[in-house]
Amino acid sequence: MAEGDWLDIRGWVEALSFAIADNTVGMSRFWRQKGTTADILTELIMAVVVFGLIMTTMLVLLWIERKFFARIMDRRGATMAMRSLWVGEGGEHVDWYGLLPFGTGAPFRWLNRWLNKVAGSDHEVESVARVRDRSYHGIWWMLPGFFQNIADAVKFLTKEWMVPTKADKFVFEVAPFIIISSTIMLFAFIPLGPHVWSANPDLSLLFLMAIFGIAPLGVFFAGWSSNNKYTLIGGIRSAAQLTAYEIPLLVTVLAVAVLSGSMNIIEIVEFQMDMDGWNLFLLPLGAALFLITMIAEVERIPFDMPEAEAELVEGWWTEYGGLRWGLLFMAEYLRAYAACLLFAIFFLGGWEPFGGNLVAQYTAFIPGIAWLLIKSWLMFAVFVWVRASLHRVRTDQILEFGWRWLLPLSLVNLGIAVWLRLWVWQGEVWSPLVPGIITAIAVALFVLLAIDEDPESLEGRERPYSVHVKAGPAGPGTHKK
Amino acid sequence: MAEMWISMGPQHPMTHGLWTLRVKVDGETVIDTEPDLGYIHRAVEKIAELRDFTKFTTYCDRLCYASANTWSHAYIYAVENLLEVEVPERAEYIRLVAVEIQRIASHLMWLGAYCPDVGNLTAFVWCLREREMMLDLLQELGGSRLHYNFPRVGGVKRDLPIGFAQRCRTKINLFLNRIQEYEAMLDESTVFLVRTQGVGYAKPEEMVNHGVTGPNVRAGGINYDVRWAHPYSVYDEVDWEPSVEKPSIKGADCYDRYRVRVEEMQQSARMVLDALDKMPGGADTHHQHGDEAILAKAPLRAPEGTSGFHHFEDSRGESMFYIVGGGEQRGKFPYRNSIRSPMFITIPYASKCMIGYKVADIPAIMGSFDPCIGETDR
Amino acid sequence: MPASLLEEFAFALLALLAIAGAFGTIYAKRVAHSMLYLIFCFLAVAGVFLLTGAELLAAIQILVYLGSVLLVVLFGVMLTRRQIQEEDFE
Repeated sequence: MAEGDWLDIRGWVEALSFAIADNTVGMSRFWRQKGTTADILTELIMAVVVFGLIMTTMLVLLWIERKFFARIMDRRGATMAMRSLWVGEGGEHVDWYGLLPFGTGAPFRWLNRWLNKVAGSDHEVESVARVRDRSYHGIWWMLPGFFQNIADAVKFLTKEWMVPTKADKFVFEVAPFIIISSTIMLFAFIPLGPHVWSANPDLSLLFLMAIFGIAPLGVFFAGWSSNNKYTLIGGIRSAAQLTAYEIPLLVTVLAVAVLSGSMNIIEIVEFQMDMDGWNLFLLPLGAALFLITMIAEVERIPFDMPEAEAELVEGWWTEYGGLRWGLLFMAEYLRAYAACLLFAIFFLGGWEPFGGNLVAQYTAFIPGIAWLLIKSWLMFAVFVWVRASLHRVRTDQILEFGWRWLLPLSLVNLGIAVWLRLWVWQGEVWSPLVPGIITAIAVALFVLLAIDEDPESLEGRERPYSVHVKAGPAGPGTHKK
Repeated sequence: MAEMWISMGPQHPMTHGLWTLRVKVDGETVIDTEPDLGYIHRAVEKIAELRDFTKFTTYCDRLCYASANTWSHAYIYAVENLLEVEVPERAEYIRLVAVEIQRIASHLMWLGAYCPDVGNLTAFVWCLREREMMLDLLQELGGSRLHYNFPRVGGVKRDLPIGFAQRCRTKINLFLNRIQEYEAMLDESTVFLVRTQGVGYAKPEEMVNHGVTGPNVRAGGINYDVRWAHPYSVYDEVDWEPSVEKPSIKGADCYDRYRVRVEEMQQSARMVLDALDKMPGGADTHHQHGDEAILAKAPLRAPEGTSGFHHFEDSRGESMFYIVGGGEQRGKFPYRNSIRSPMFITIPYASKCMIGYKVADIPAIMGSFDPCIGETDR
Repeated sequence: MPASLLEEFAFALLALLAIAGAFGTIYAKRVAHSMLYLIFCFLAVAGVFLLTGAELLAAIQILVYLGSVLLVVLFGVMLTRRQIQEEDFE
């Protein structure tokens, strides 16, 4: 419950602002306005606090993107960070535990030795082990991996800002503002905990989704104004894709709102906490749809057609450079972060600890924000996992998938939500049977769909994915205008 | 959207080298293409006329950065045909090992480059990881990582190093296991199939008419492998068979071209293992540098009017060398050295293959033909 | 500064922005610029709705008009004209 969380940042900030207002405005002849001043001050401070929290914890996302992805890829340089922390590389023990005071590193040393024995770097082939040794730079530089972000920021700051000669300068300058500002505005409506939020209107869900839909315009303008054929194609692809996937996304979110009976995000979370059932187990189809549409909305592989680097160089942001590019890139990750946070809020019970009410009294010392952030990071790891294992889907296939499959499925999901709310829910805690049965059906369907087809039956099959369009050959010299 | 010409290249992620593909698009559909080659023409054929036979081997290495050994071997075979040199059998086996390991490395490089073309970076790094093992093996043979300068007229530069056979077997067996990982990653991924199946159909008869060779034409169901059709070296003595795909009626698509290369890697691995077993004198013996068993004596000058020719199954198709001896007037230099590059013939055909598909299919189709611009421009 | 005065200031700002956006939409030379001004106009109108307490209307204004209608208009404008770039930038 909300009052169970001791990290009452909003309460503290309110008390602080009232104290400040009392002692400044309250002493002056404008003393009547001290309530308003305190309110404004509270909102300002909370906005700064939420923004700071998001920006600092976003480094974890970048770290996951680098290190977890590198681990999946088995990449030489970056695998060092996670692996050598415990195991060491090439038989070299990293004596970081020796630096701990008062011999507290002794258990770590023992664990390290043991791990090195069972999972040391004696690779099947000595050359691989040798290559792994190549980029070893010492534990203190490998361990965090966070310094790379600082280096990136410095690089972006020091690069020259260039506008292409024939670009539409006004639109070219304004487009990143639209994208970045609307992205940052998202976090005003995302609560990070029961008492850590910047704005909490009754319709926060609707506002959030409305603001989510502004960025495609900026993307389109960015692609158009660069006066580059790649960016133009990228911008149009992006606008088409984002519009196509916004509708299933909205319907899926609507299903969550219907089930929770509220358009307020905090109330959605509290409904899950009070009723003892995460939406993941009640609306598994909705969770899958939300994940897919969100991956498409934040333009990550397999739906990163707008910035397909194989044919469009960098898609709609090809012509951007320097700090603008860095900020656009940051906006991409912020949107991904928002997607992860929203998934955790809508489907994973928000700031409820894993295990729900069973463990709540034992984990009361952990603030809710920690659970929410951990859940969202796990979701981002899923995003990275998807990116690492899938290929890029073609534009027409993306749109076809969106309109032909996701939209009907999202309507089905909405129907399920209505059914659950109106006929199954009795106005009290879910009986464990309901989420249990729904989850069992979902898992069974997933396994059924995931089973490989018989390879022999595929042998004689016509290739099903042909898209060849009959185009007449262009005559000689037609390219010269 | 308007019809417009997009110039992809010379610096573009799709090109895998330095060339320009001009594409005319109608919205997202490609309606015409026009390849523009020649950015890194180095006049290699002219250089050949001013070098003696041994010195030109290094230039052949540099014809293709991804597959150096095959090119220098193709050249050496042509020179040996010109000078009528008998090569010791052990040297032939060593050459076969070197060339087939190079072929695996080249195909791995191709697969590694192809996966980012259709949007996956993981398989790229996995392929380069295995290619590193192959390059380590080649480094043991040739002494360097990319350009080995390994063959000599009449044999090879060095014998197999001590312990090479055992290391080679370990790595090849490991590699054969790793191929299953790739198949799990690619063949069982619906997204990969969606991107490659039914895309970039190339008709077998058109490919034959255009002169496309190598894995690209074998993907179309035509069993033309120079190693099999006209066996040179000791290819008729080791255990292998050419990998040929059964394409659909419409022709070979990108998926066929992917499968044929993966199977060819397995065949090459099989060939290397078998050659190590069958090597005359045993794979563990080590002859000194310049020993009779690995390097035959060869004349330095070719008489006037003689000509040497060899066609060779390169990683990308059939490469040919045609050398005319110079006689007294030219001294040690040849009169003419003509090179037939498989990709120079394939790239124009591949560019026509993509007409009618989407813009997003351009890298998928072009990449599946495995372009290498070093040999194309010569 | 009383709260009502603050609201009046905000309304003046938003109204000015909306009017300026509308004028920009009419008088801009390029269609894309018109669309850009229209974005600001719509956003300002949404802000006015917000000030009057019509939160739902504000959200719908952004969601429907900005997110969907404007995008469709953009598509229409961009895709029906032929040879966009050559004409616009020569």
